[in-house]
Amino acid sequence: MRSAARPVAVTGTGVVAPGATGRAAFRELLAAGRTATRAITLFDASGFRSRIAAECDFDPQAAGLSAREAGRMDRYVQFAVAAVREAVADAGLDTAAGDPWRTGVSMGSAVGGTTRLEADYVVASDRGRDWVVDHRYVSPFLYRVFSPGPLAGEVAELLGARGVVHTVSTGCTSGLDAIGYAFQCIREGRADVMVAGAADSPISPITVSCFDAIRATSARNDAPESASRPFDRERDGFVLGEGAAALVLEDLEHARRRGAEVHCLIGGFATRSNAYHMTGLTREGLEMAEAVEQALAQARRRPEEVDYVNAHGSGTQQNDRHETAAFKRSLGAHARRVPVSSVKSMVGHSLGAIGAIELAACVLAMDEGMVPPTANLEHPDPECDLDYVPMTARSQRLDTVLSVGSGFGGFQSAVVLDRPDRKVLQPS
Amino acid sequence: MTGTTRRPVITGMGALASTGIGADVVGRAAREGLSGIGPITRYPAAGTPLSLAGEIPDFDPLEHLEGPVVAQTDRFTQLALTASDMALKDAGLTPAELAPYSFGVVTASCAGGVEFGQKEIERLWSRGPSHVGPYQSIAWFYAASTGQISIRHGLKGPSGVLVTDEAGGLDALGCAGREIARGTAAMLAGGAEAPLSPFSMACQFGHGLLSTARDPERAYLPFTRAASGFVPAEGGAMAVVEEERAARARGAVPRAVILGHGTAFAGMLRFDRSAEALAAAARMALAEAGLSPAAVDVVFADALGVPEADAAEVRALRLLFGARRAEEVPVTAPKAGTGRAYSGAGALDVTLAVLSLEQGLVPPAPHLDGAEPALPLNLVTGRARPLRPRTALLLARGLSGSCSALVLQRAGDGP
Amino acid sequence: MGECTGAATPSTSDRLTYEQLVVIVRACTGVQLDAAGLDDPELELKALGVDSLGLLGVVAELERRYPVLLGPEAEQAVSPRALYDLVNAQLARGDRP
Repeated sequence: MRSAARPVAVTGTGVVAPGATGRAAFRELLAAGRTATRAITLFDASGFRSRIAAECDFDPQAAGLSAREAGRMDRYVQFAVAAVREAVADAGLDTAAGDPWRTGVSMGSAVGGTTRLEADYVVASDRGRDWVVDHRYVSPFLYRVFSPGPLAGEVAELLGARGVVHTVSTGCTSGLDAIGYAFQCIREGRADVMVAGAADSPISPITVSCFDAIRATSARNDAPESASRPFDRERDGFVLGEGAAALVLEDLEHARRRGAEVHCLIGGFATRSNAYHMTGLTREGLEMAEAVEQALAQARRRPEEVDYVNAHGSGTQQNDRHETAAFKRSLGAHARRVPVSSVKSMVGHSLGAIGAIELAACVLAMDEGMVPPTANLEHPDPECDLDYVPMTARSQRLDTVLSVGSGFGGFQSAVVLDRPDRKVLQPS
Repeated sequence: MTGTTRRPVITGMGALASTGIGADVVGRAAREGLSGIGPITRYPAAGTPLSLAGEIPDFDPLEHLEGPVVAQTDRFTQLALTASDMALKDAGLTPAELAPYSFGVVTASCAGGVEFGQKEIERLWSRGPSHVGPYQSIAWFYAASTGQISIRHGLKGPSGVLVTDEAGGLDALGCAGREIARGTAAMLAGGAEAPLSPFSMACQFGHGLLSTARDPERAYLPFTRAASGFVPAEGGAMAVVEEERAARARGAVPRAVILGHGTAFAGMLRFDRSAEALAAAARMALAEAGLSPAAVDVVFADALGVPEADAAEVRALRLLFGARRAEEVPVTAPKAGTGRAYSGAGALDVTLAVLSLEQGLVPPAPHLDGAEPALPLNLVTGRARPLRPRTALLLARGLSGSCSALVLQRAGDGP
Repeated sequence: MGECTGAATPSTSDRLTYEQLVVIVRACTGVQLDAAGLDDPELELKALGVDSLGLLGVVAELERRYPVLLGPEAEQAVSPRALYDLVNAQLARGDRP
């Protein structure tokens, strides 16, 4: 089982992000360093501490969903289906032509159908008055929302996949972990093709208020576009986002046999836990550093070969300092040379979805030879003293890219992407 | 799991079910064919379609966990933490004695902290945003149990959370087995659920698979002509999984070997068309185990209790074993007595299968001895049978379409 | 009725006592404190088992029970004594809008 270790290619990507539906729009948003945060429109947020979010302007019909699909699927599943369709088209993958039993789905989501569950609960409970809800007011299709399992199920049905199909729900590392698990499935020979990604649509009263309660989100309500400011000393928390992204992963040989264009390879994946606190992070970042070191070792890359680091960069003080320490520990002196940036500065923090959105950004960055910027980074936190690519994107060839995530529950994950035609590094 | 010298073995188990607290208690109840199904007491269920469930009797979280842990967790996490404590104790394993990053935890979750979440949403909508407490952000989400277990025991290794609904319990054990094969020393793996809140049950009336029967003896009768759906339950189990040589070297006695795991997709809510996928999952698990179907001594069935779904499971057995062997191989479904505990169900089956391999006794499917069989199966009913099984095949199907299989074998004297 | 499960109806007065603080902390965080000795400014909430999330819950509950608006200073209070002093100072001033 371990001896297989087949190379895994990324052959397609699809994105639904705040301010950017589709890969082309997303590429443009990243290149421009544009931020998508605004006053919340999805519900009436007056009375809440944080009243801003990075929302998707998502039209299900324009994204190719039938009225029937849109009616059946929760918002986060709609995002996922749109992203998957784009990724599959990008990969030129004819899912009907492949072996369905060797095709699988691995999708991440942190909070699944909470937004819809809350909405239906409010009706059935008469605005929270009746603990024993009147079940006659509950939609008969809510079993599809009750667990996030149907996220992977809907995608599998769309593709006709019959292989490994699961949803991964490790909080804010769900996206990285879902793609990491898919990578392992192909690498170890359990599948030839995996559609992997993540989706969340958490912008709802209960989720906004629960982050209010722990002061985790930004309350910069008067200037939404500048609220998400990772690594900036004037940051005041993360900005809630929503969206989805999907990657098509394939056994490299499988991709070559069908003549697919390979964006990049997934070289390594590792996840570790800090076993410290459900929300707190240590100053040292040892466990994230360990995940980075393990992912690099699996990819057979040395720290100095990393050309770009896509940070978790949520814009909370403890995170920004935690991962700065983790990069210094895992990358050594190279941490001060390699560009590091946060996509959350532009599209906010969509919980489980963001890890997949960020990996999609990394694939685009490698395709384009572009380092996405950290928007709003005007006054660097003196304790965050790395090259965080403030404000403006850069042109640069990227052969090896590292993306990390960190989340409630203590999860720390890392993925390494590689170019199939990467330069051979001379021994230093 | 074949192709590797690193065999994953189960060295410790903890379980909570409607039939009791503790793996041995649940195991004894299963052997005796006892049932834990009864009227719902966790909320006033009169006037709703569902009146029966498998509730854990007398579970007071404060008897098992500290006050601050209880304050910040939903019941599903309290069950998982309690099961984990019991499993570690059973394994005689002190996590601090292992190398850093070599011990991880993987749980399966389906309902998450639904009861905790319902209470907080109630406060939000009846009193306002400032009334939502700080623990909502960490208590209700699906990753809460894995996170809390990791923190409680200092487990920094690879950790995860899988959602494949009722198939999740088996998938978590399969995932743990693969982590051991990759080089991790130990994993806590399993799942526990506490879905019995009024709203989460109301969410499920639409699929029509829940039993609306009022007689606990007649409510959950898989594979019989009286099958009328399943009885939901709370509970689950956690197991300590270790690499066999290291486990033996530290003096642990392996209780069973995880030989193989497989999973395939049937389609959402396609229990009726799940035969091919279930058979494919079983073939994958057996291939990984390096065994032929003939080596299977007992099957722990998914046993949904819905006629079309039961028929599909029997078809899967025929696809796997051939028509004749499918009627001969002993099949059991202890969950007919515990109720179906979502992601916890597969983990409970693992516990009961390990005990069955150790004790040489196959536990019966309770309540079925008086019911007329709908399908030709060698169903174990009435009392435990002294069949001395060496290899068990466990099957599970999830609502969102995943079908999973796990192959367990008696530990024996080692590699 | 308090928000935190199990909290008794407050006997809201013009002062917060350590006994009342013990009840609120227990209801919100599950941590059982001993009122005796809580006035020691060296005694840290964290060491007593009240973490940052738990403290946020306690502060929110204090604001619901007493006519006070505590803010970041209380949310980052290090000791029970500091919390006690903040609440009572505001109560003494009676300056809640």
